[in-house]
Amino acid sequence: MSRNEIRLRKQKTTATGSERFRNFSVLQKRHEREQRMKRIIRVFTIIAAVLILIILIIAMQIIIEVRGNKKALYEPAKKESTEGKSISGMLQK
Amino acid sequence: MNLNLTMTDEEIRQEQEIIERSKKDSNAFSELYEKYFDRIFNFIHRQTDDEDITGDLCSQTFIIVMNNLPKYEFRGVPFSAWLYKIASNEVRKYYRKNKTKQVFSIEELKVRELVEQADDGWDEEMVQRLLSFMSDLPTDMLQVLELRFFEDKDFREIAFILDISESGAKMRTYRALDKLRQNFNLKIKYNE
Repeated sequence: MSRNEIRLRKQKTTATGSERFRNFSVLQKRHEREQRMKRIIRVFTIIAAVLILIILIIAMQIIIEVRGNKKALYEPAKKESTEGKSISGMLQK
Repeated sequence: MNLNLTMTDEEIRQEQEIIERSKKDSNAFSELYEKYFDRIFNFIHRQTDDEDITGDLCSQTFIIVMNNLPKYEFRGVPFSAWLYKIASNEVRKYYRKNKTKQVFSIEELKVRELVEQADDGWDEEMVQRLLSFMSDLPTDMLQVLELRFFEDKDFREIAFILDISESGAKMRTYRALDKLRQNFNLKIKYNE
């Protein structure tokens, strides 16, 4: 079986053939529409990226605050337990 | 129509000015569109043999060109080579998507020119044999032949359009021509 199909054409493409599709104003409108869409998508992407960044920063701050609060709650208890350990050690000696 | 497709330095400089203007104002691109529309249309039509498909691929080619014009830089080959490259990619994409055999629609006149250089002259049977022989050639070889014989492109441009090296383009052309010579006793004027 052949790889390609070779066809023999009597004439060159007719002028009317290509004229039917030659329309610069339509092309320009399409180009402007696509550029506008590109711009909108770019703006949305930037906004989304900034929003994600803000959310991440807020989330990190919340996590740090929660950890800080937890530390503050456990620290006196920890201190007490270490003090207790040292007294019992001394007593053993 | 100007059949001399090679451009002088002055013509390239003038074209470059239009390109720079088009980057700022899309209206200026109409000049390049009018200049190259027929050539690109015929180039695509030769690879599809369907006017509607050609029209769509041609519009798509020019849209891509307009959208990417701000990134265009002169790289030693004429602007038209960039257009051919994009058109060629669009044709390739079309065939990949549709999974059909690639069509090469050749003008009888061009085949006649080629065959009349054979010692035996024009012969219907020989033309049919030539077409069937060509249909068995690899697609990349046919693309090189098309650009060389039907579009009169030099090897540097062919290499740029097909994204291959200049020596690769030469090798493909000479291999295809050798095969034609061996099988059909053709004397081809473009083999220098």
